[in-house]
Amino acid sequence: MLQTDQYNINIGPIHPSTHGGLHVEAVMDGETIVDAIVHVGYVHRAVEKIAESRTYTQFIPYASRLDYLASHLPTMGYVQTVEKMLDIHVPERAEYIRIIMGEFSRIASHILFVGSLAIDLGATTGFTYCMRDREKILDLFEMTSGQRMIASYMRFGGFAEDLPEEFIPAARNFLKNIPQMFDEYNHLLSGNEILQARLKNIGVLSAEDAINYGITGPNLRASGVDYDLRKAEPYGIYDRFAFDVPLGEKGDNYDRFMVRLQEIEQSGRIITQALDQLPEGEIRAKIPRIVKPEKGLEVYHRIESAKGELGYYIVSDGGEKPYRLHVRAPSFINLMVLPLISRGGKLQDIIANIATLDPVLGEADR
Amino acid sequence: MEHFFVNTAHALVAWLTGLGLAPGWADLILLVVQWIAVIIIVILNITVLIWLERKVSGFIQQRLGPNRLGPFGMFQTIADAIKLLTKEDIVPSQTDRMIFKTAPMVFIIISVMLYVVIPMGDGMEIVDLNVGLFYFISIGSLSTIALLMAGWGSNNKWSLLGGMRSVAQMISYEIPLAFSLLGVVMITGSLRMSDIVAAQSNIWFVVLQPIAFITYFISATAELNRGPFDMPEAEQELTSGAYTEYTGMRWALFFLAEYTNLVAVSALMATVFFGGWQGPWLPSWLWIIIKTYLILNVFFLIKWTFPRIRMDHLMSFSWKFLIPVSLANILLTGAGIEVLMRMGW
Amino acid sequence: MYGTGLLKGLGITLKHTFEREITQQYPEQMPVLPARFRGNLQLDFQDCIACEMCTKVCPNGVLSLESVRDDKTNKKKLMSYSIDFQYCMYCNFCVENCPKHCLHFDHNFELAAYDRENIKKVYQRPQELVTDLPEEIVAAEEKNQKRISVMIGALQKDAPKILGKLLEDEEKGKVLAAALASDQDKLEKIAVMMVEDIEKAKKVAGALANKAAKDHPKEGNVVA
Repeated sequence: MLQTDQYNINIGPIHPSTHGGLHVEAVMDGETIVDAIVHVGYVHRAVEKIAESRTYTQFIPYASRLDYLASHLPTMGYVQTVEKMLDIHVPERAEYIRIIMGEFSRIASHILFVGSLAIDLGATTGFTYCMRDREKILDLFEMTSGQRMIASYMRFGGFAEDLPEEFIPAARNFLKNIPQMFDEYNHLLSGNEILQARLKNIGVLSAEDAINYGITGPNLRASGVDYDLRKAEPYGIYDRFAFDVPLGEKGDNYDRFMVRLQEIEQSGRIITQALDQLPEGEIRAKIPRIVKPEKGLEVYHRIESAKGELGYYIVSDGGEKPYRLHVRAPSFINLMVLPLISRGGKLQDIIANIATLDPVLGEADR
Repeated sequence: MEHFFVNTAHALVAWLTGLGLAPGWADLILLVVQWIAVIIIVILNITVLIWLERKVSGFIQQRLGPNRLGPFGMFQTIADAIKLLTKEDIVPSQTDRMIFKTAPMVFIIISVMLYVVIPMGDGMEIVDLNVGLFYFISIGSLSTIALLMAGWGSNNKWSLLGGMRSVAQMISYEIPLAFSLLGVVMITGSLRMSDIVAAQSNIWFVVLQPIAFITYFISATAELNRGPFDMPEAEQELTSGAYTEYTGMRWALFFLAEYTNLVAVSALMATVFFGGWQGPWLPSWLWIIIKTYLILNVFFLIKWTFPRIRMDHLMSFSWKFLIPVSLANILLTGAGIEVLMRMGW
Repeated sequence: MYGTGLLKGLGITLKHTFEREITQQYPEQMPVLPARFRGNLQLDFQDCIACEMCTKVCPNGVLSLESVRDDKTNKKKLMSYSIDFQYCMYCNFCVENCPKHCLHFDHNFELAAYDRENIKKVYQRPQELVTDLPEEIVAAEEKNQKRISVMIGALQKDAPKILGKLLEDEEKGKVLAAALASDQDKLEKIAVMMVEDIEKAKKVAGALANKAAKDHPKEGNVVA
């Protein structure tokens, strides 16, 4: 054997495929990864500290900015946590609209995942097709709240405004097009032999490792663990809908890709049912103008966000502002498994691994 | 129209000898003129080509592509070239200056040299070498050196990885590239380009040699470093690979050379497999342009559709699949020729 | 068979090549915006009762207002309202909490500006509404305006001396006066500051003088 030297190479923080400010220090032997060290914190915005200096209401737009790719879901988690503190009952219609907006956010996030995976592997056109389809969801968001990406639409006890009239036909129209969208993705991406060779049996994460590392969300389900908070611990009104939890077998990159593709379909199912059952009525519960939870109240609430289990832990000191707010960010925890699944792979695999772990750095660094 | 360029060349030589110049000198001047013509055509063609690729990729992605400057945005490339020319020329302090600066020049010189043997019409080769095909392959493989120089001279880990990848890739794909052309050479019995074109007056070699064509197409894509085999550049992995440290016109020279290579290889493909300049009604030089551009569009479509292949898959694909297949093709061709000769063709 | 997936992918892209493009040619073709679109924040000055609900609810301190209390009716009158748009998160809280519905987002989204000053939007009380104010405030305002115009006149006449006095340094005053001679806007701003807040004027003038001395050292010497 030839004598070879190991060298370090810095992937990021400024690199075309690190999804924001992620910095991975790779220890390499030729093109083979010996070890990878994840450095996070380049997009640190002190969101948890900001929460301590804002009133409960004022934190809503900041919560949306955690996972800006699926902005309704982190907002929903925060709003439900505070409602749990105050013991507010949300009107039926608002609950249904929350499901609809949340699942649309999940679809938007997963479509972007497919697109960014495609471009990280070099298939530029797959990315643009995904962005094209995601725009349609953003149009729906714009219709409801006036904002495309970071729509602060949810409020404590419900919503700011009711759905506009043209929303339901437009949403149904989007759902109708999902099969056609899938056809395109399957032919262009998942059926492509080069893509399969790049993803299959790469970055394998076993079920035990996934549980030990605290991985949640699609990444955990790709390893074959049937754990979805919407089923395991139904929050809101998720227990009223019929949907499947897609599972992977091996936990490799291809499974993580396919699980998310199938989740788009399941989210579509949930939205269809919610649109069918959508009742008329109030959109917002009566709540005091100034939110002041009791002193010493501590609440933890978690939801299944697009990236995994998103939890909020809030401590109240009886004032207008939270005493402490902690976010359990799934992206941060999921990212920590990157060295484990990258060891022994090639340089090109680590790019695919980052892409399939689907971190959003705004949430990981907070 | 058919013999417009050939007649112009003859007239030029006749005029020069009429002035009292020795015929040898007149030929030399003609050669220089032809060279300058090639360089001008190459550069003009590439401005059109870059525009075309951006337009085609735009259409593939349901966009419009450049459309602001000139009719259909055709002057966009010129504007870009002006921008690149006016940019600051940065040579990072830790580079190997000599190698860093010469690499782009080496690359572009090598790629322009390829045009010497391509027949651009009936009797329109600059030099009709008797080892034309051999010359093309051997000069083409030299461009590895330029990429290695760029990768090494930049003194950057990404660049070095890009340069090393290009060496590994181009050397492995050189072999199936040469082997796939060997089948054609066996049928024509000549390495001279004009003979190869003449041999296709009845039937194109793409029909007689489909396996050779496919292996040639794949290995040519790899030789050109185009997607899905764009390993040395690999934007998403190596930022820009061997070109990471280059700015302004030096970087543009690499870009130019890549496209020059692309056109040369497509023209060779048209010559060897699609009957060269032969075709009905239109003048011969127009036919080769049409054929080359059609092949270029296929290259564009492939690049913009497929994800990038992995480096080790790429190598094993060449050594374990393409080389055996192209060898089998040589065997098959040899057997076929033998059988047909015995049958008295 | 190996390779069919590749061919299907090529088929998809080839199909889309000949389809109509879906992009909008933006500056020529403006997007159709939904009714709830949040663009530029607008205030109906007349309706505002200066209750400060919006400034209290704003998460980022974008909004600020100045008001005076009318002693007769015991009602607040809005004097000026400023929106520092660079910090706005478009959360819509101010619009929702406004009891008089005098804030709203319009559909203008072309808000880019070359410098920060232009992003900030300040509503001053319009002239026709000034008479609406309590008398003593109107009188004070008029007096103030008069003093400012006198100050501007004086500055235009003999800038080096006044500025030298302000800066307690004649050399600096001359440099600054030379620099400001071509910049009427800044001169007027300094005049306003000198009337309203002399300490601030000193600071700003000092900084400007230092900058002028740095930028044009030669010119400064010539003047000196």
